[in-house]
Amino acid sequence: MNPLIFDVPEWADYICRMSAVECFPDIEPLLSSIRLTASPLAGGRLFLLQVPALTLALWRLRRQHAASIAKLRAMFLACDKECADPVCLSKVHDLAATVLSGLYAMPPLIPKPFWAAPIRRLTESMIIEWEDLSEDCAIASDPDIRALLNQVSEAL
Amino acid sequence: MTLLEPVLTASFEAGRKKLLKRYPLAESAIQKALGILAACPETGDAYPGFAPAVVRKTRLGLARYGIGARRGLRLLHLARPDKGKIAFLLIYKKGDFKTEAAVKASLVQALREYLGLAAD
Repeated sequence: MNPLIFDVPEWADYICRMSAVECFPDIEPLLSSIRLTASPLAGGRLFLLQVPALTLALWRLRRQHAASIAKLRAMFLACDKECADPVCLSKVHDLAATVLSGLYAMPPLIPKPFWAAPIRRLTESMIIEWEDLSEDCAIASDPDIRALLNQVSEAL
Repeated sequence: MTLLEPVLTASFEAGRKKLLKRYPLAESAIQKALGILAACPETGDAYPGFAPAVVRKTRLGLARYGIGARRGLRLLHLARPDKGKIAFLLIYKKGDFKTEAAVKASLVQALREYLGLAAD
């Protein structure tokens, strides 16, 4: 049994909260920056300043998201042998859904021209990572799928 | 290094056939991935709580089509290293399933099909 995981009650809650703290604060300012960049008033003059700043901010945000996802996946790996209860998976699934709802707001705001491509790419890569995590949690926390996987494991 | 005996489910075969129609050059990448997973089943992202089985999802890029691992194929497998077997459950491309529910339904179908075969 891994003491790091099991000696701390509500470890999954803690990880989720930490991940949320790391992921959320930057989304609102980013959304308003993207709105500003996309506006016809700002687009002509400010994009030279806005695009690099936004790209940098999104790159930083993507690093934070990647670190959060890595932490959550490390938690899955650490409790792989012991955990038979998918409660933490449901919590992580809820977290991923919340983060994704914030991220999904970004692509429609990103301007179409080529100079916004780095912003679009960074946003899409974050969305894909969270979608993957969310999908993994949805599959692994589904009681029917767990039962079927255990049956297949026995039948193999 | 011991190679696990691969078991390909009907859903996996169907998914692979469908993918190869769209990406015929992906065959070698898929074969290579299956070989790697048979040799090292603990590759990919873990689904916890299935010990002694190992359930994982691997992301596979299609270099010949300029598709990275992020937008590439997803390969789900269940291995029992103690029994020397690995079952490939599902293969699909990122974005093929519009919702999580669709992925889950497809996986359930794959597992049910396999269990039906095993029961026979």
